[in-house]
Amino acid sequence: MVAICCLDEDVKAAVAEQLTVRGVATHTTQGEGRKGTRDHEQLWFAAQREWTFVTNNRRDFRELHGAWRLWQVPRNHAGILVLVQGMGAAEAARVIAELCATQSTLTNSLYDWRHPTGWSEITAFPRKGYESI
Amino acid sequence: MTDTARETGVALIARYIAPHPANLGRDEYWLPAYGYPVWVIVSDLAPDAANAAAVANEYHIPLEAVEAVWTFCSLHRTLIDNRLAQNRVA
Repeated sequence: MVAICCLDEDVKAAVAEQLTVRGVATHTTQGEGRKGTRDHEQLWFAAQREWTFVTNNRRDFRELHGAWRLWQVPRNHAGILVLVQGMGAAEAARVIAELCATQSTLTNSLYDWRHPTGWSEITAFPRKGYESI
Repeated sequence: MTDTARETGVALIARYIAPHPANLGRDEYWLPAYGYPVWVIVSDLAPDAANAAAVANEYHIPLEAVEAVWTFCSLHRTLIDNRLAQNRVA
């Protein structure tokens, strides 16, 4: 798939550079003039543009993704990719580009990168029991 | 940390670090000029901050800003460690 990435404000600038080198169209929160915006507004902004959202903020975006699915938001988001803390920019760009190249779609998915297992799609909600309510 | 170093660090904190406008708490303080939260920069720093220059380079921020983050973290270690732990286990 051809993904357009939108980097959260917590993703280092060098990741954007490395993604561009790899041919992945990339927008940054800083570049879009959206520093300091609330997380749910950031995700909505990216979803409206069909941009895949890349973040380091696992805690809050897993929660948001869970809410998005539970509440059946009548708009798709174009995927959320969560990087691991301390990941170098070159490695981050490589794994993002590889995931985008190998998945047919990232729509309404959250992928989480962990060492040493790599990407895994998170289908369970971060807190217990939501799906059975 | 010597008193002089601490004073210098506190001055750097005042220059580079502030409360985040949307996310409450000292563990969410950020660098408003660049948009990065403190905790994410800390997550890239080695325990002795020996890689501070490399971190500054990857974030495109001055080395002074990394020093401000380091000092802020030393003053609020538990809060930042908790934020990082929450992110790991989420």
